[in-house]
Amino acid sequence: MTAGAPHATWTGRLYRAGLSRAETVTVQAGPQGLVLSGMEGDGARAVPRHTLTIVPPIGGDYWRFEFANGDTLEVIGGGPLATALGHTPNLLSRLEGSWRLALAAVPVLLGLGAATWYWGVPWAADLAAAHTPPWVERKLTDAGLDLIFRNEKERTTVDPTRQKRLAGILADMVGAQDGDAFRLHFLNSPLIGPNAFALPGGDIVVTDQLLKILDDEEVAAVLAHEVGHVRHRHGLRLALRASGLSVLAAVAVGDASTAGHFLVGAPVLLLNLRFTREFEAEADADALAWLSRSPGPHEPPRSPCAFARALRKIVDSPEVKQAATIAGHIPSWLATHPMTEERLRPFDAACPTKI
Amino acid sequence: MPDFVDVSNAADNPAQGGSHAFRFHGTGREYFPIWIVNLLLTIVTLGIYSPWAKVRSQRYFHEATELAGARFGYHARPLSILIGRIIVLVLFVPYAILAKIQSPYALVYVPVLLVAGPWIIVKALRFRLRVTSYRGVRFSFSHEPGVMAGAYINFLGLPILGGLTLGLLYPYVLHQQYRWIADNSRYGAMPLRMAPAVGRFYLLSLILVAAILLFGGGIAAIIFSIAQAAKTTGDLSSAHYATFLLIPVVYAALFLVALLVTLWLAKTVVQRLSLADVTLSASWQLGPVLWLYVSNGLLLVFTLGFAYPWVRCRTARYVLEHLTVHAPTGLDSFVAGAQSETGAFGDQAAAFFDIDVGIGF
Repeated sequence: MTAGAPHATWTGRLYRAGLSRAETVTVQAGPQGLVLSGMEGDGARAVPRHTLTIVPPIGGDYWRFEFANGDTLEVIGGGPLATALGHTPNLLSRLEGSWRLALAAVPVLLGLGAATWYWGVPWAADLAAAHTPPWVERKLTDAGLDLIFRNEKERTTVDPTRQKRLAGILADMVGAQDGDAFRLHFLNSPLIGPNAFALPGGDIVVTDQLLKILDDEEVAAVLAHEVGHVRHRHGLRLALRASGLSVLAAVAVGDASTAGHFLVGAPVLLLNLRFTREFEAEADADALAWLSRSPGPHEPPRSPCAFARALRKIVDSPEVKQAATIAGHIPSWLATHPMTEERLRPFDAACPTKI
Repeated sequence: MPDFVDVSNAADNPAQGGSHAFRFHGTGREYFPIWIVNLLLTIVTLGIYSPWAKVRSQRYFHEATELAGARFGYHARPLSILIGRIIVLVLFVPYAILAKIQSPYALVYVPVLLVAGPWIIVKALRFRLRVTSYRGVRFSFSHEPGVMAGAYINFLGLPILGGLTLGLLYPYVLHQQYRWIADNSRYGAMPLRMAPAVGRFYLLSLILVAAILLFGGGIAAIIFSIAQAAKTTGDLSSAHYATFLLIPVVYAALFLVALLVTLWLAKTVVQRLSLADVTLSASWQLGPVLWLYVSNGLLLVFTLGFAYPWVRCRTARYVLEHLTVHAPTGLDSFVAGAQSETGAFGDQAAAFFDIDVGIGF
């Protein structure tokens, strides 16, 4: 290693212990330590090596020398001076100066982030959902129901005997021990159109517009799908996964900018679509299993064909078609469910006669 | 050379007297590998390295900041930060368990936190300022006996009073908090002072409240018109969907006003600070700050966060290089105050909660 030339000099600023007054001094590396000259008052001053602490920079080239008597010397570009005093950079500062390491770390960190994004967060969210007490879901659902039925003042126009019949089908479907958790609600909403959705606690909402175009067997098939959502706790898991991803995105993008928060919303929303597709497929599998099982002695007949019929009727309904034509407004039913025909393939395969 | 000619001052002319803008020497290019190493080591050590990472990045930003030829220093010891964080963790694990089993005993922590809050704020300020230096002289926060009482008045008593007056007192409360922090801060032995600005705080609050009310009214009007249309015609035309697009516009307007108020507030406070005859002025402006926000957000999103070092550095550069120190008699005459080491716990407790007390370097 080549130390600086023996007579090389640096310019530094000396601060005496406890004083903010700056003195410009000339600094040299002597055989025993630093040699300062050019101070006011006294001549050259030698500072033995063992009485000074070298504070190497973190990035940059601002070197600080702290003397045992409390004085501080600042030297910009003091690296060679420190080297001449026998200072060797430690491993950490060598790593911090290495762009090669930094660039190599980028794909590693990206991979780690992606793994957390795709597997870590969903896994942790599902774990949290499994440990969430049922009353939390109940509270969420009650708040949701309140919101839905307060805003839509229109009473349902569904015939009470049909309401009772459908509630009976649902009760048979879920069995006695779960019977209390599941409740069926009817909603008259032209804005939502023909649709059914499940809330976390086991409340299932069907719209009058859906009941208008489907017969009871088809409604039962749709209910089997919604029961699948409830059984797998899709509502809560989706909410937890989405918040987990928002947190992760916020951590990655940092708190440096509020504008960032608006921008991270969109990708998280797109990712929700991935989860909802996964959940729809899971609920479809449940529906198919239920529809393929033979009904009990007092139950109405059922078949996988009914689900395929129901879905095609919904997609072909004028409300859904009209909504699809309005630019920028794709009904959630279409966007969040896997493409209809692809979805229906297993149902068509299980359906003895093509409808 | 005659004895009475002051050599150092002749060479050091800029420090003698006059105005100096801060200069920031950090660059994203230089900070990037430092940040990556911090990140990697923190992940590999499962977070144990994080106090070291914090100290190294704080040192980078302090030592890259120049005022009148001298750099700032950051002297916190990582081990004390680590111990503080462990203590906080130990104190809050019982709370996490109590909350988990939904025990009503978890509520015991509410008054504890309320009462401990001002104490933590004082400890945090002492730590934050104590570990910062400039020209070999440390900053500090008051150790006078009345300072704890002041913390409880300003951060517990006054906010309660503000609530009782339905928020009418809040701008005053905020003003008192800023002023109390400033008046108890010191550079060496010299206390910082903040000139009162109650009127300006009320004016800014009024602007913000008016903007929020207008925003709420605008959103309500949009929602109401759409709901009305849905009720009467039963279906919505594309004109109604276009109305939805007004919502982000209204949001953006509120964001702009909030940013402007924040900026004015920062300027108001900064320009009322004084340290002996040294004063500050700031020339931050809405346009560049807005651009900084937007471009930082875009940079972070499109690089998946890897632009963070550049974002940090360009933000620091803008904020610092538009801040000017006016020192008519120079910066040479400050002396260090009494030394006192502060314990790690309260100080680090605040660091753990990431409590931002606003002022400070």
